[in-house]
Amino acid sequence: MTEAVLEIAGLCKRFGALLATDNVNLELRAGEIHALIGPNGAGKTTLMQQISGVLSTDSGSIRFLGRDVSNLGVAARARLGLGRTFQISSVIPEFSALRNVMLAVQSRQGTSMRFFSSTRSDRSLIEPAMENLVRVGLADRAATAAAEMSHGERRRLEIAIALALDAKAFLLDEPMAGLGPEGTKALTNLLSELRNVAPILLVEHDMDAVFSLADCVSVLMSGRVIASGPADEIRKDATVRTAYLGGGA
Amino acid sequence: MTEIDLPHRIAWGALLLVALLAPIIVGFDPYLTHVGIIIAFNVALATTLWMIWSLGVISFAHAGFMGVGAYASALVLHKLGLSMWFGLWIGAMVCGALALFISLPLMRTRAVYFFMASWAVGEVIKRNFAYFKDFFGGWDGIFDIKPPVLDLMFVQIDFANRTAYYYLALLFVSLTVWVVYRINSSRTGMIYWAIHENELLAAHTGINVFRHKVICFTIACTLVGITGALYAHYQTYISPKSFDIWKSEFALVHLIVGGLTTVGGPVAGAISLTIVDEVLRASGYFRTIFFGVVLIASVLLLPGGLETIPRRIRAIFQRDSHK
Repeated sequence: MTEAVLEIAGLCKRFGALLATDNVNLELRAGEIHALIGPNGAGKTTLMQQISGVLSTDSGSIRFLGRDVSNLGVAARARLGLGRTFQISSVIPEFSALRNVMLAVQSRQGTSMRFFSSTRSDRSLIEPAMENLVRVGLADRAATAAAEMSHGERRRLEIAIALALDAKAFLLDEPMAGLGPEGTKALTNLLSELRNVAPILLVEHDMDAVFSLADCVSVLMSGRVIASGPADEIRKDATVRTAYLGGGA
Repeated sequence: MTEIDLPHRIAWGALLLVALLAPIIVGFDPYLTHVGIIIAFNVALATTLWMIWSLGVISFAHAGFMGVGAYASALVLHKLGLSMWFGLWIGAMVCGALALFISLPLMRTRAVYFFMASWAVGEVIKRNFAYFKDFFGGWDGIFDIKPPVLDLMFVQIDFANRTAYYYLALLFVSLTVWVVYRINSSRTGMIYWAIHENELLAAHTGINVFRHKVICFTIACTLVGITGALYAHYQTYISPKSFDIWKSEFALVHLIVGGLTTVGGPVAGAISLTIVDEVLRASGYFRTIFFGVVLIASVLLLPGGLETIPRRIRAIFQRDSHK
């Protein structure tokens, strides 16, 4: 096995009496898609938010690329290469597709030397942004405002942003939500290519997508990881079937 | 994108040309030149306020910071005996330092809390001018703030001359607008608008939101501090009332009437409303009422502000060409 890019050990988060995440251990290795499944309220989104830094952690540690990032803020983690897409949407609706990606590109490059020059003719910004739009198949939509894009297009735009951020790991929170069969298929293909760029931690309810994509699956129930292992084993696991996949199905 | 750039450049160039020729057009009329200078100050105030707006907030402390620049420059003249050429920059630095210090807690607040906190900051600045009587002159303010004299080798320009002061104000206001415009169209401006739309998303693309907010606020306040110094040496008299909350609110009205999405908005809003205000001056008591009517009418009839006029005209022509 290759080394872990993201290592989570003993992670806890308490909201009052509710333990949203309870001693979660997780590893994300290079080149893999690790799916996180579980019923609503299992703590998947809380866990994603802890990893990306939106929520603080009560106890436990998050190591990213061998470095403890538990005490870093959202922006600092993003700069290290933790790329995240949201359950709702993580694009700026008023910006065009190109400008959304340009924002990510400049974040990698820094503003220091170009504090004063116009972005409109800045090739060092536009060209990498355009490249990433091509990679996700949105080149012809570059000038379109994100607000006017379809749901599926916005999802692809999010991935272009994560690519532009030079993400070393992707955190994808229900990327398939609200997509039709066509959109799901297109995104599944995109994600299976994306794993070669950086490993993916995927929260997803679409079980067909999960089992066709994931190398490794962890099942979360009431904040605890009740099972974790290769996708095939999890599919057969009896406790998982009763807990989540629908009893005797 | 270049086809959009060209009309923009023509519009800005035409505006600058009119501004440069304005004293000649009005035949060096002292009153109209005075209006021109007031327009220049209001444009600078609105434009720098708009820069803070690009972060998504409106600062009601803005006129207060203009006051800091004004008082600093006036005190440099009276206590240290240095002319505005020094006071202007010292005022800007004092303003910037104070803005940096205050923005550290202020920029941690959001939305309506920011409005309230900034309102309080503006009020506290004003009250301090009034309270420390020996230093700031209390409610009576500071008198006799002399305009500067520029002593070149062969010529001497006395800025007590109104036309001369008009060009001085025009120079600094043009620079202010240019700086704000350039920052706004740069990567930094792109970051500000991203923060404006959604702070959390901006953070997720690796942007240090807090630091950018502090820097933006400090730059905008430094620029308005320069405007304050120019204001003080033009009026030759300042008091706490010159920089109260109403001045910030009028600047906000200039933004709303002019438009909020481009730097052309505050410029157009400040120019047109300052003229409207001067025209209404004759109506005396009813002036504020008329001003309110103009404001409501413009919001109802021209949503998006004056900056949308070129787009509306273009839309009309496009509709005709499709017939």
